[in-house]
Amino acid sequence: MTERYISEVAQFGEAVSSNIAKVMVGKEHETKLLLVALLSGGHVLLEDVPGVGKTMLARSLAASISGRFSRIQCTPDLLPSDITGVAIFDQKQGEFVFRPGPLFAQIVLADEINRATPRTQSSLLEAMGEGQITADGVTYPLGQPFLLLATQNPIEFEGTFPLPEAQLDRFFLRLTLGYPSLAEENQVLQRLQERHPILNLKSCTTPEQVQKLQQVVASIYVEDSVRDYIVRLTQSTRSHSQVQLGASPRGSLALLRASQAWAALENRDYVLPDDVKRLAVVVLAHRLVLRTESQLRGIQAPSIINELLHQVEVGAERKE
Amino acid sequence: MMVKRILPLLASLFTFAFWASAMKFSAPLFSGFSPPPWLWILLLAGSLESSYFAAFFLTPRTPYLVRLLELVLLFVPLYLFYGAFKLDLLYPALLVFMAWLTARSYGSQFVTMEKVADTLGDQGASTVKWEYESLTSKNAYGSIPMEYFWWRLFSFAFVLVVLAIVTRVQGASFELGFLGLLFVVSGLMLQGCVYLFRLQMLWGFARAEVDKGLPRLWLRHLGLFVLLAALLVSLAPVNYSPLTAARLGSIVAGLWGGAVDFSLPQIPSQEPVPPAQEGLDFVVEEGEPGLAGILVALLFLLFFSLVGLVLIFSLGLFVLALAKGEVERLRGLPNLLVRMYLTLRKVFVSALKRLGLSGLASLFPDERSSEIFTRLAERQQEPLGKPGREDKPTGVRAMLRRIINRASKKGLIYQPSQTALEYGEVLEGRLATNKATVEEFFRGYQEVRYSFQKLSKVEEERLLAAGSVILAQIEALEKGDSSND
Repeated sequence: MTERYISEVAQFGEAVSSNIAKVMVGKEHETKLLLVALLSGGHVLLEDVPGVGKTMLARSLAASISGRFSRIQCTPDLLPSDITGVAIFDQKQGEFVFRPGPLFAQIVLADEINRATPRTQSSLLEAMGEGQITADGVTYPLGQPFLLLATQNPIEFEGTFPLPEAQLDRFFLRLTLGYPSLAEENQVLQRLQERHPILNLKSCTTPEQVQKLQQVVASIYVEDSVRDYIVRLTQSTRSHSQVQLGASPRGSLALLRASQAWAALENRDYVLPDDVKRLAVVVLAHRLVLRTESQLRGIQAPSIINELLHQVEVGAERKE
Repeated sequence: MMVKRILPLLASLFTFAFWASAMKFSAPLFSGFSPPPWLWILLLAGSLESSYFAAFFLTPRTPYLVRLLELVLLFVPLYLFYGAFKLDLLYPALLVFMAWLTARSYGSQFVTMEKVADTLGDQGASTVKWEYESLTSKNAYGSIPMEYFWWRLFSFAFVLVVLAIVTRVQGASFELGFLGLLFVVSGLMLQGCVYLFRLQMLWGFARAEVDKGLPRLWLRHLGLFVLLAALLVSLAPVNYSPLTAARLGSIVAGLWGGAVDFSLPQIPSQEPVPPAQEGLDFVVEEGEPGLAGILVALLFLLFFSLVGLVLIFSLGLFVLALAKGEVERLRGLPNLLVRMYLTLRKVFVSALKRLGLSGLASLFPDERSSEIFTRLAERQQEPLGKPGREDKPTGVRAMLRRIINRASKKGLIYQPSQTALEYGEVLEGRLATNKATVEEFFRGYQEVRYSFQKLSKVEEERLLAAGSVILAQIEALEKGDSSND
């Protein structure tokens, strides 16, 4: 791996970020995290209140990488075949032909995913985990790169089906966008006054380029002590007194991949413990299942991760 | 359930031992009262009947007439044995009634313990862990079943001690003998069995699959433990000569007064032993003074060390038998006990081998010990967030260690959970040196530490120079004028 490839990742990050910044105001950090997920081949759960730009972020990312974008509006009557695709009878050919569903895209937005029934939610598992779907006994590979962006509203729970732990664990990151500041909201109004900027958004890279960069990210060097730190951090979530179910090995793998992607976007060919610390909350927090008494006391998973970040030894130098 | 059948027996024996001892102690206080043999039988019979009836037959709907009948059945023989209704009858009647009442409360407590669902509701298995924890910790919402039994054991023992002292003050003998032994044995057995019973209730409620041989094993180990305790109580000398309380008191008094005399006082053997003073006096017969006294003291020390080792050995064995396949999960005291047990066992086996008793030593295979040791050590070696040891660093890494050491002395303490960059930021805010120097050093350090590329000699020297500047700045700091926020 040469420095040229690493700098390509950094350039890609800057190009896509500045492209998305034309649409999204003040969400540079979130955009970077989204790119981390894209470069690591992961999927993102966007959890926030309505109207803060979740859909717009997904659309602008799709436009930036000139990938196919599709949107699934999840409702209780949505069926698995509505998203994976269905075989219909072609009268001309006299046989059943598979008609692909909205999952056959590069950027898929599953809006309000917790409104879909558990059956439909489960149909996303194979797509998220293996990048393929199976319909009528036939397996179809999905487009590459494949990024599923699911949104859910953390306030309204009536008529929703909370995501099971198995599905939450398959999300690489959980992000929140938050409300914009006064100046940022003012800027949003200015930009959208006449014409939405997304309509003029040009692509700055290609899906093939993203795939290539994914391989570059996977080859970022991770020193033994950093890998050890990731494992210890993940393991410490399993023995925390407030946690019923800690992060899985998939969680530690996600943290490793995310740290590699972050390092590459920072134009670095090695991972630092600082990268791990910066990403631990967004990668691990949603994988924890807290004890009932902890939930009743209002303890949140991110605060537990932060607490562990202050407890687990980094493994840098020690006082002699 | 087997334990449920044993529990009332133990409770009634414990109750009998307590009230019979109380009766024995209090007899000299009532002039002319000497407990007749039938009173002992009545106490035991009343306790047995009461605890078994409460544990198996008594319900809130049991008519009061039945309860009254129980008392009548108890008091009529008392009246018949006594031969007449006199005022003297009141005291033994009170004793029998109290024993009956105490045993009744134990029996009712066993029934309460069975009603786990009443306290746990429909929370199911998830609550059981909390309940299990509550066996050993204090419950914020009220008295937990185990506490009930502990408090009774201790308070009854305390009452007996007070009665013994009062009796001694009166000038009477205060030896407990068989009753004391029965009190200790039945009390400890009751504790152990109640614990098992409580766990069995919880397991049953949570539908947990527990090894069926566990209760038998539990009882076997409990029996062993209680046997050791009984041996200790029976064989342990109450005369700790030459280390008597009086002698220790005199040494302390000597230390206090400045005139320390560690030598044992020489009491001529021809002299008559001074008679025990009236009143509360724990001074007991003095042992042989001088060298013989020291030898006796050493023998006592040896004896108690042996007893301690036997206790540790049996407790370790007990914990190990309970933990079985989950030995690596043990922490704290149980972990220590198992380790000590394994060490003792290893020493024992090697001693047998050295003595040429290899055949006997082969009965204790050492492979299993080493396997358990490894499993215990695995857990120990990987505590929360502790990285493994590594080679001693050199160059830039060694420079950072020096910086950390020096800065720590000045109050800029490096936290193990801090990254180098975070620590660098702390230093940046405290040192008068150019911020770029600190940043340059720490950025360079990160490359050395975490990158696979090697620094050139020139770059390394540049970083070491920056490190020296930082060190000099730290030296220039006044201790205490900086603190790590």
